[in-house]
Amino acid sequence: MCKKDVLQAVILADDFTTSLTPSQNIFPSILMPVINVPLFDYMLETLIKSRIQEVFLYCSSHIDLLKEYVKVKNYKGTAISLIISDGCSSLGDALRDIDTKGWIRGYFILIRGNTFVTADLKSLLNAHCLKVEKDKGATMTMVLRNLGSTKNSYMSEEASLVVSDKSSNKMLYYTKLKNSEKKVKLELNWFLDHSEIELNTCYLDTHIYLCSPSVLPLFADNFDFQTMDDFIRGVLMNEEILDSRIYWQQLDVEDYALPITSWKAYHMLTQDILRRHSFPLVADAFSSLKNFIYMPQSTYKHETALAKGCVLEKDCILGLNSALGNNTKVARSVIADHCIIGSNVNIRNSYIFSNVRIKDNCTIVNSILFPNCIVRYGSQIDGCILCPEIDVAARSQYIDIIVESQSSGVSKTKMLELEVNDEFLYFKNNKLAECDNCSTESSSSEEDSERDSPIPDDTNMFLSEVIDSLLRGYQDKLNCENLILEINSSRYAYNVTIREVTYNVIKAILSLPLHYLAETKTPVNSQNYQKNLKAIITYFNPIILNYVKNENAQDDCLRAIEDIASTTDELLPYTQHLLNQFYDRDILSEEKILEWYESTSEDADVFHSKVRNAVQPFIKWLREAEEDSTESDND
Amino acid sequence: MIDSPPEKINESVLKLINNIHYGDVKGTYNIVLATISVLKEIINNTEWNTAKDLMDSITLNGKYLIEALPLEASIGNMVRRTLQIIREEYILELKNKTEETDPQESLHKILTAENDQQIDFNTSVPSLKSALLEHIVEFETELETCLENITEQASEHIHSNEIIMTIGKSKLVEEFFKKAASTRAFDVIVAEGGPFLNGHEMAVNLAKAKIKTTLISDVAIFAMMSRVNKVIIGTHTVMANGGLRAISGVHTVAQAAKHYSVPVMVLLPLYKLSPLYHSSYKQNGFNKHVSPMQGVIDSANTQLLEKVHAYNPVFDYVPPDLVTLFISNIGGNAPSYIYRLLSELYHPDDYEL
Repeated sequence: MCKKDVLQAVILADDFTTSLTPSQNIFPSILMPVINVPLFDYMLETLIKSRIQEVFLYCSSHIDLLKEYVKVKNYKGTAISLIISDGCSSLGDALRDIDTKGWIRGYFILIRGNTFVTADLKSLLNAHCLKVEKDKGATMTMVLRNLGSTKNSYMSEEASLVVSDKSSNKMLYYTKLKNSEKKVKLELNWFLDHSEIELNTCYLDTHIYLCSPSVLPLFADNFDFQTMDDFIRGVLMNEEILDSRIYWQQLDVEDYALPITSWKAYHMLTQDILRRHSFPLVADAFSSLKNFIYMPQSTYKHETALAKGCVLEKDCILGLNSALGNNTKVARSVIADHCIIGSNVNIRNSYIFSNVRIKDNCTIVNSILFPNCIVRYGSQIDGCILCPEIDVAARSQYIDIIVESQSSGVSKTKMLELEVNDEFLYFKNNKLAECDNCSTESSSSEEDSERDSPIPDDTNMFLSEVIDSLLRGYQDKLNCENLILEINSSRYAYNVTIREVTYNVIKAILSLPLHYLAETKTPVNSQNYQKNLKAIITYFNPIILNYVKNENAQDDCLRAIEDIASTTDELLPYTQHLLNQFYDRDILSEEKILEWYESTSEDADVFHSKVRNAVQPFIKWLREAEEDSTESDND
Repeated sequence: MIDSPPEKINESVLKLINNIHYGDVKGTYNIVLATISVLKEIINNTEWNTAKDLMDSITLNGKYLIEALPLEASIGNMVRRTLQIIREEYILELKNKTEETDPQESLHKILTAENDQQIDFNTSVPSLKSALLEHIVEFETELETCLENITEQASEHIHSNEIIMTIGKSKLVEEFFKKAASTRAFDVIVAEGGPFLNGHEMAVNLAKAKIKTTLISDVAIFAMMSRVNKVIIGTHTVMANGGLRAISGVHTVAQAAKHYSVPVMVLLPLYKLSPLYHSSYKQNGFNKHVSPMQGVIDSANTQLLEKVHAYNPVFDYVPPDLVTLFISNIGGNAPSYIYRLLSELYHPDDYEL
């Protein structure tokens, strides 16, 4: 029934969700060079092979680049038309725009521009058409690739939860799994309504969607569909009303597909291409990557590349006219065309684009060097991204930064300062540990990253909520009982454990004077702070008593005091008085305070020992009092 | 092919490359036929005045074809063969003589054939074109009957109640067995030929033709070899020294056969005979490494895939001393005789295009 005259594909040149900072300023996602060849080259090869006759390329940025590219390329039997829309910023908008143009006549293949695929798209689309014959409401078929278990692998962030009807592959639920979520909620209805359902976390969305004509109108009708995830969620939730269903289909085991959603995926894709998983789109078999010599350990060398006396360890490729000096080592890296690299250079897990010059004795690890960079003698670059035309001075050391050249000069941004989701952090935190190293090492680094990760959002939000409640309560002199109720309800809203509640409530109370002073526009100094804190603690005594009831809670309370005291200079001198106050009010017991004072001192970090020093007089007093009491008991 | 081709390359050459590249033309035999028809078209439809012009044009186009498809050695063979035909016809037409006595040149003639060097091909011979086309049509018929000529010899090589081993799937070997089976009964052991496992299909086809067939896994090759009388295999290309480029696994079979002194026979249509040598495994374009997902390793195991290198070469190189006999369309020849066949088929100047 979908024997329409021409096979159409829509490619979005930009994928609006890709986080390959800062490359989006340089290329649209589809022109991102993968082994020195734009991603689009691979895509075109697949399209031609699948006999797709008409391709619409939707461009929303870098339009000149794309126009130039399409003009230069020569393709057989496939017509490429550009749809130009400057400033479109989401997939939903793009598809709505395409809908109004009315060029898509029947079934089509929707491809997000950041994907790489080797499968035969035509047969995939035919399979979708067969589904439509059975179910008129089949709107879209997602193509998923089976990855197997993604635990401890580069792909662990790509995993998604797919719930489907086993017999028909009808999608019931689809979501990307986040690392922070340890639990998955399953609906009872799925099990009740279907005789057999399948739950999987091993599938990867290939960013290829086989669409019926109804997809575009659905986007047009629902203005809130911004991303593909919105669309899938929306359609699955309103299946009955919209009368449309989503199916999925597994990519053939011999085919390969991977969307570049992050630098990590980019790294993965390059490695897979070098290891020929993506055959026939590999160096020396693919027409854009000709004249490469394939050598053991997945290393490739262009016929013109000079690499005498250097070591190509594994998984690397040397491009046209590149030259490597003596004793240079390369592993898991791509060196593009016309690069000149000196002697004794060590290059690992790095991407070096064309015309880069690297002088002798440099070390380049986990980095990306965009075209025309120069790295001078003896520099070390670790976990960095160098934008085009950066000149790195001799003997400099760059770690974890993005270097961009601007009109005013060179700007350096710390990786960690960037307000992007942690997926971006290709480096350091997201261990790019050498895979061949023993597994214990990689697992320990993983633990590290877990510990380092910031407190989950919910807890933070809970804290600010508590601070708001208390501040309002203190200003309006509300009843403490009511405030407790309020805190408890926020606790349930954010699903915070009771221990976290104690910790955060104490934290909130201790930081409250700062907020209060800011509110009343009184200057913040130690004196004001201490005066206010005393009043606040007196006022909130019932609340503190309510939460700090048992020994565990006392621990949490002490932990909170320690954390706040170590970061707030105003509180530090007052800490001993604070402890004394809590002791007098029977909030904290003598044993607990002493236990805390002694127990944690071994992880001697500067701040915490500072706190310990500050409270020393009080502890001394406590100990003396204790001795006195025991003595008096003895008497 | 996406990149823009250089000028002067014939339209049909580009089309052929695309057809082969995208899998429209499959199998060596079909590729050979397609190549010859393209070369014929160049002779027929392009403008040329002298044989030199034509040879240059064919060399240029041929070179482009070979570079685009380095693995299909038979394309190069056809280009060389065509050049040889042009030389022969040119000399014949120039001398304006009718064909001399025997087409088989004597060894003496080959050794004294230096005078070819002095001939320049710049004289315009009007009758050359028609003579060439005639010769090429003749050659095409030779190609068509080539496979038949090989299978005709089946009964000479396969005797009653023999046990014969083969590996993987080869259309020619299959026909060879079927032909022999029409007159006598014998057993065939098919090694499955991993990781592509084409041997399964082969075994089914043979069994359908009422041949007693046993399918074994590749690991059992050595164990089974002791009771085998003969190994008969196909090949992808035969190198100039008589070595084979055949599907992976053939080397194992040949080694096992050597150990048990079992004769190894290779069916060789002459278009597979290449004047090139195999120098090393690093040689560009000798082997084809396909995705390890095609049978070597499970694609649904990311954890493993990230950590290991998996290789999946399609071809094996079998040195000539492991081969007993080549059965070509003009009869059986030992590997040591390959040089003679080469000098008959191609001109030494064309070995390197």
